[in-house]
Amino acid sequence: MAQIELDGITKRYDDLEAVSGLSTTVKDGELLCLLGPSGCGKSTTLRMIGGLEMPTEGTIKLDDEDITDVPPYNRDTSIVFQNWELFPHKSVRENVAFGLKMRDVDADERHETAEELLERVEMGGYGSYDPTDLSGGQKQRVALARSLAVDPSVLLLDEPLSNLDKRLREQMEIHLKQIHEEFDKTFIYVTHNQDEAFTLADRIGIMNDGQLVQVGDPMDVYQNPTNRFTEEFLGDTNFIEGKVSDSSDQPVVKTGFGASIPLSKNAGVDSGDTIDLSLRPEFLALSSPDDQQSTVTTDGGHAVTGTVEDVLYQGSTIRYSVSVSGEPLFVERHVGDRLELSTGDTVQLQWDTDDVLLFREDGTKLDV
Amino acid sequence: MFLLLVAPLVVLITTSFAGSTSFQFPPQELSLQWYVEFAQSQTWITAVKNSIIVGTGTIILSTTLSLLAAFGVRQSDVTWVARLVPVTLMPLFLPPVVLGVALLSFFGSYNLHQTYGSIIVAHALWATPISFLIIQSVMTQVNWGLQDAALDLGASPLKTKFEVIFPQIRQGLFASALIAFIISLQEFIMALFLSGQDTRTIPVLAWTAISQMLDPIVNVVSTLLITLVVVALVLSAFSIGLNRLARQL
Repeated sequence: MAQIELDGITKRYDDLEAVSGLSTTVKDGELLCLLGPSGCGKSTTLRMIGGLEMPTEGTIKLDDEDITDVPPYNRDTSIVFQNWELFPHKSVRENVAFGLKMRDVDADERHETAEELLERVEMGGYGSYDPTDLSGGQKQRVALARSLAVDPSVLLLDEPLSNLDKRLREQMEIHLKQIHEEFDKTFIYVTHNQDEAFTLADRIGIMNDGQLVQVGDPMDVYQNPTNRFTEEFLGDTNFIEGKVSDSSDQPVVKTGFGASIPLSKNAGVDSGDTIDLSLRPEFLALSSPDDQQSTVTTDGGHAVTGTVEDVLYQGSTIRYSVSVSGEPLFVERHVGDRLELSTGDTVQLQWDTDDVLLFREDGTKLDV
Repeated sequence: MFLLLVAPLVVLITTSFAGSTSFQFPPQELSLQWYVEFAQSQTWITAVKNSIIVGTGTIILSTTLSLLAAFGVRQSDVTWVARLVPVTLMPLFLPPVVLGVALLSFFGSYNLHQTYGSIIVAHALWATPISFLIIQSVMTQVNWGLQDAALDLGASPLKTKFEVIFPQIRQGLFASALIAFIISLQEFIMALFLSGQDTRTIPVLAWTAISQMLDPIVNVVSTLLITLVVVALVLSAFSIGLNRLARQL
């Protein structure tokens, strides 16, 4: 059992509040990703769990035991740091054995454990190396082995892959996932990279401005963002401003290009409210315009006509920027789709009303 | 210019090898007779021993104080602490005669003058500001993230200092120790006030010897001192880098 419970933890520096009343529970054996932009307080949260920062308010519990005031060296947690922080004047083996040395394990035993762990992270044979001679990926593995050597209940990872190039990062993501399954420990993983979070996480916690905005299964967080921030952060999307209009008995959201979306009567909005619509590029169908100019298709979706303003090649995908009544919308298509569109072409965009997400002005989601 | 600077040293060093008692330059014949006499003189041997004791004491006292102060300043989040740092330089601007008299009356009232301790305290008064500055400067190069890593892996704050901080400032510590030793070795005025018959350091004895008559052994001692200081400076310069040392001094 290794469950972490955060209860209203807040960290204040002078007049800056890095973390504001964060509460959540990390379940035993799960891999929770704290995902958010830089400066959102995710690393501070991790450091508070590790004991390197003291929360100004709130409590941290490990398996129902209050560890808020326990110093880092007496905590059953270990951090893998962003720049790994390997001890430069010690060999790789001594680095990995360091935690055990501090626990007074005798030299032979701790070196044996260190070698074993180096094997596990595919760094066998590097024991006598100087850590400064290793590549980024190798240092990362050694840092991981060093933290695993103290057999912590909870492993804390602070953007451990952010200093690696893309290909190496993807390899390490898979490796980390294997390590997590093999060692069966609770992992808390901090990152600003959505791909990393979605690849690794059992659950994702989205952080913004010192607060935990949303926690849930990766798919659930992606499909049902409860908040405009989550929607914006998790992927590129088109935001369109709409206004609530209450002309008939049912309120509708009207947009600049005529497409309107009916709302339920008890949606709790007033006529004139501003509503942001999110149209995700993957839900937008792009086709050559047909004769039908209606904005409502037969199956209850929407179709609008626009002009291609820009074509951006992004490797395997092409991003089209389409102007619809002056509003720019972007759509992404695979190169393999062979749409062969160029600037100035007239196209039709279609979407299902069900796929549109609506957000109130304060950022909360509006259920249709 | 450089010749002008080294000229007295050349005279001093060559006359130490003179074959006669007179302070002639250049000496008529070269010999090691004064070196032999120096090595056989009990008074001089005692003075060398005293200087080593006082110098070592100064190293220990000033380095310990500097380390504590540097860690203290770093860990303190009180704003005026950092502003107080230049105040530590104050002893360097006080005339050594004033310091010597003050320390003499202070230690005298406890009957502690003429002890090694009193000279060590006096010398540390000068050595500490300088070694504090050196240690502070090397501390800015320390990767404090390693401290987090060590604490996280279960090292107590004290063990963390020994395991990951001291290895990073080793050269700075070595240089500051050497400089403290040099300061103590060459300091004369305060030592003159505070030393007694049994605790005379090399410069004090040299002064006593010369004030009675021109003793060629003083030339020998001076030559040895110069050599020692040059070697120590070169060592410390190599250990923390010439540039940094030049900026610190």
